[in-house]
Amino acid sequence: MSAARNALLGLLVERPAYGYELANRLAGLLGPTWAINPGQVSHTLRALEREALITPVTDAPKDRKGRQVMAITQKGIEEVERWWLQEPSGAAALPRRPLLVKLALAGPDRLEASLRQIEDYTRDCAERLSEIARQHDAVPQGPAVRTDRMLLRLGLRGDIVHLKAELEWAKDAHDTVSWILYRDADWPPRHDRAGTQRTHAEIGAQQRLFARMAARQLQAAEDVASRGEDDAAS
Amino acid sequence: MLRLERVSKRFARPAGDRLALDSVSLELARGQMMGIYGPSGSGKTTLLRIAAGLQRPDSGTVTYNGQRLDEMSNRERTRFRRREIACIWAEPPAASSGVSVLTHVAMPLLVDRRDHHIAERQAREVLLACEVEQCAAMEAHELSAGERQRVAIARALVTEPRLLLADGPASRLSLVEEEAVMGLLASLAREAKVAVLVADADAGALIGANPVMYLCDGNLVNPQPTSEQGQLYRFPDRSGRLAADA
Repeated sequence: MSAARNALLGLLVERPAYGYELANRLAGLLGPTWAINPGQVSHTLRALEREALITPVTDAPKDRKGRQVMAITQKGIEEVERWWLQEPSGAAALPRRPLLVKLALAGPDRLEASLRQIEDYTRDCAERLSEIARQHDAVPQGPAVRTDRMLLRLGLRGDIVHLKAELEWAKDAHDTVSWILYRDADWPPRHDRAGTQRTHAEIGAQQRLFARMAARQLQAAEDVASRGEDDAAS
Repeated sequence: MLRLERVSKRFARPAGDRLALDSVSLELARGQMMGIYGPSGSGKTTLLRIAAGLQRPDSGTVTYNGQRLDEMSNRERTRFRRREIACIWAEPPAASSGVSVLTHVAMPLLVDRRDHHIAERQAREVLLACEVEQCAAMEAHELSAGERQRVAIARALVTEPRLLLADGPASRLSLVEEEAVMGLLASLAREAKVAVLVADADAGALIGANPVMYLCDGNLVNPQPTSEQGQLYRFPDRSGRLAADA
């Protein structure tokens, strides 16, 4: 099960809720990284209902758009327990950066453009970092300790650490590409076609060359034979 | 087509003479690709150089299509070689910097005072046949090892030789490139009827060669099992004696 699906199911253990309410509670609990749109929420809820993990509360009023309050079933509660106790929490995921793919395939002609793209990426990371830091500081810290707010700040601090690491990586990428650009580094040949299929032109050229050479060999053989006959005659 | 009979070659060394080839005989027909393998210093390169007419044997004869190569004057031999024989070495001589691959391949024709345009056209076609036409405008330092060797083959083929001698043509290549280069040499023998003599330290590299001979301390033996003897030859030991299974 996906993490968002488990999260929605887990929220329903606390109390029955409308879909949009679940989306708001999820973002409030885990931070903006976990924000999911209403369409995704209703799609996930329909899937959970098909599996009989949740059920609509028939005596609760529908909202303006006719959506129903959803409640978790006994099977759903058991599923949440199973997920919490038995499902692995997942290994640390390493990011697959689309920017890295671009840099790796840039080649010598796109080094300047690569630097511009790294600078854009750096700017984007810095803006997101300051936004998330602002959200982190905006979580109220009243005199009473609220665990939900502590855990929200924990999630936001995870995003901050990640973005700081991305900024560090982007600086490294900028230094590396600059080095390649200004030091005239070697590029491995891209045109090497060892082991690839031959083209029609290549096959044709080889056939013509080999036919000419074979004819030349035949001529040599005839010359040798006639020389032998001459020697014998003399 | 090429016949070496009881060819011997000795090199003078301060520590005593060294016998590089000891009465070696072989015969190579047109359309045949013969492989020779043996350890470093076994005489492979000396054998190829003598077969190419680049070196004279101390004794024995080298006959090419009935003509004695070892009896020709240096001038005659050079002219003959340019027309008939081409060599490929483990480390092909690199083109000078500033010289394109196309000019490098056309060079043997230009040296022979052929028309510049015709020479370049022929060079381009040979590059295409060797599957490296895309490298025509590049310089030698821009090529991979496999491409460098294919360019060397193209340069060897541009004069359309009848005899091709290759010394470790695949020794510095990856397995994929080795197979491709040896495949090209095998099709030269099969389709262009060129007589190909290829030497390598590793018997496994002599893909497509038949027969494959073993050269050790200047002695050439055919290590294939022979039905007449009904037993396997063992490779001769370092003293050059041939041992057979008891």
